[in-house]
Amino acid sequence: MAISVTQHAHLLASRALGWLHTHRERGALPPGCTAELAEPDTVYKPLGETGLAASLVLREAVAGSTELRLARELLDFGWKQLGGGSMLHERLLRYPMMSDPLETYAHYARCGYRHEPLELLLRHTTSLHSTRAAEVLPNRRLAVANAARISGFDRGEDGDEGPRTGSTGGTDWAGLTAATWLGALPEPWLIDWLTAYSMTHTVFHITDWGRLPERLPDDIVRHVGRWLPVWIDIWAEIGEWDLVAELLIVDNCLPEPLGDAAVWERLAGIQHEDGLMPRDGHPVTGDDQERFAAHHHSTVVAAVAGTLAVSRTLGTR
Amino acid sequence: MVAEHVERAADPGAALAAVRIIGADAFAPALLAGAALHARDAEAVRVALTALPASDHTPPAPPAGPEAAWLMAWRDWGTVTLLTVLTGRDTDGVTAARPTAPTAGGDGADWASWSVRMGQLCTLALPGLDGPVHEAARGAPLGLARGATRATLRRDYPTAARIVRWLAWLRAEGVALPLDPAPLVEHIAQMAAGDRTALDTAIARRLLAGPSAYEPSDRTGT
Amino acid sequence: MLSQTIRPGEISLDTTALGAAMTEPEAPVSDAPVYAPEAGGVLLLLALLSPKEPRDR
Repeated sequence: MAISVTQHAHLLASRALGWLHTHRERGALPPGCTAELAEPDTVYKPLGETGLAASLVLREAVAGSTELRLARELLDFGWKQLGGGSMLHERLLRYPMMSDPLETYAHYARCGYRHEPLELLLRHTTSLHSTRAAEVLPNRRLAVANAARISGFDRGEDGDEGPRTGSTGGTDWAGLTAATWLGALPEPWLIDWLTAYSMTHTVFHITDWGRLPERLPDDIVRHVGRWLPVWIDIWAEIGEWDLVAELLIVDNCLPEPLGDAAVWERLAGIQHEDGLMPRDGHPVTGDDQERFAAHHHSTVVAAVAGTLAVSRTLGTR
Repeated sequence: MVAEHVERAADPGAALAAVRIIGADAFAPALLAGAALHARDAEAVRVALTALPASDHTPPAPPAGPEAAWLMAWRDWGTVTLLTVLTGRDTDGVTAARPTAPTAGGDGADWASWSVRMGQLCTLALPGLDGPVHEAARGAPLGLARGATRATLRRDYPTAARIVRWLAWLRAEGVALPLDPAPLVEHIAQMAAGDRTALDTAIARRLLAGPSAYEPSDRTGT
Repeated sequence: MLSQTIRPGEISLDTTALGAAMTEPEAPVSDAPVYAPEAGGVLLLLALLSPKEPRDR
């Protein structure tokens, strides 16, 4: 059973990575793009997401040499698009309360891409109460906390006794977790689509994308273990492939992944030969640019899901 | 109540069929609300059983055997058993052999189809009945809880109400559950339409209230 | 008494129909939650409470 999951997961990840690499130019910033970035979700977010996927391929190091090279080239491409970090720096100078420069930088920095002026600015902005207390959804707060953790910005100055950070100024993981939907250990039969995504991201950030499964509180591990199979079942039934793949990432963030060979087989069957992972059951239409826009995110998710599943089933993590 | 329904029906055959289909649930008021079981109602159930007798042979459990025959066999067994228990006498030769046990599967990979199957036998989730189906329920509270959650999220409230009846029965039996069935029963009752579902949630509510709720508050009936 | 008014021989309940009526399958089509932008209460709240976008000068 575990072997079968590994095979499907590896196929899913390697094909997805290939697609991301082949089409990387479609994620290039438009000419004349400034730090203002009028459309951050469509223009800038894909660079961050591809960076995330590539960084995890390198981190897990379970891929073959070809895939490692593709991942490295994706990071090189993305870093160049971001001006070697200068675009992120300019954006943070203009919008010091925004967290996307930190969240994007963290994945590149993890792989050795550094921009020193940006780091100095981040060290400053992440230490301020205003940025820490900005009004965002609880799972987004965890995203910022994890990005700070990856980048080494999660230690406050000595003696800083902020309202929620304690005397060391470090992150109050327990508090941030308790504020989430998942942290409430809620009724599993009342969950909507957006809440499902809040739940998946909560798990991603607490565990740093599966690197630290032991950071999940025991009661949350028990809760997810009980109900994850139900959530996977109902959303696989209606073809919500992007969400199903995220739920499988959640599985591989647990101390003991459940593994569901049938779902992995299904996802691998849905994925296109060229590696595109359809977002949902609707037909994949449009030209290459439209397909990129619609299915880039789900293909990133497939790459991450497959990579982490291979790691966990091989026992290398 | 049941007898009147049959006697007044323009099509007594259809009315008797309805009684046969309701089966053991016809005894729910007696079992769960302390209502007296009138002799005429017991008689109506007996006639419904004899108009087409329960099957003699024991079909294998699905998926090996045909599900309709097996489900009917179990439902009839529940009806006959409770009729015997409640009337306290041999019911003029109306018998129903105990059918084959359900396949295992509550906590395995096929919890979803298993839980739906259990829901189809929720009429057995009543005081006074026990056997392999009940043992299967005791052995897989997580499978039932997952099944009830799945059905609720699919917005298939009739199925959810049937599966949650087992959870209510397990709670009454003192079995530890991975979720609290009370708010789920309320949720299904709020969301669902239809008499059958209303009956299932009403029975679930009574089961959750526990045996002390089964007695009538005042004994006016006989 | 019911048995005096209806004799079993007069009624034949079709076993197939009865079996079918006793088999309650689950709903063949799921109505599980999907993306529903109109259900985004947070967005609506922000729209109600947040200031209007300033006019371009």
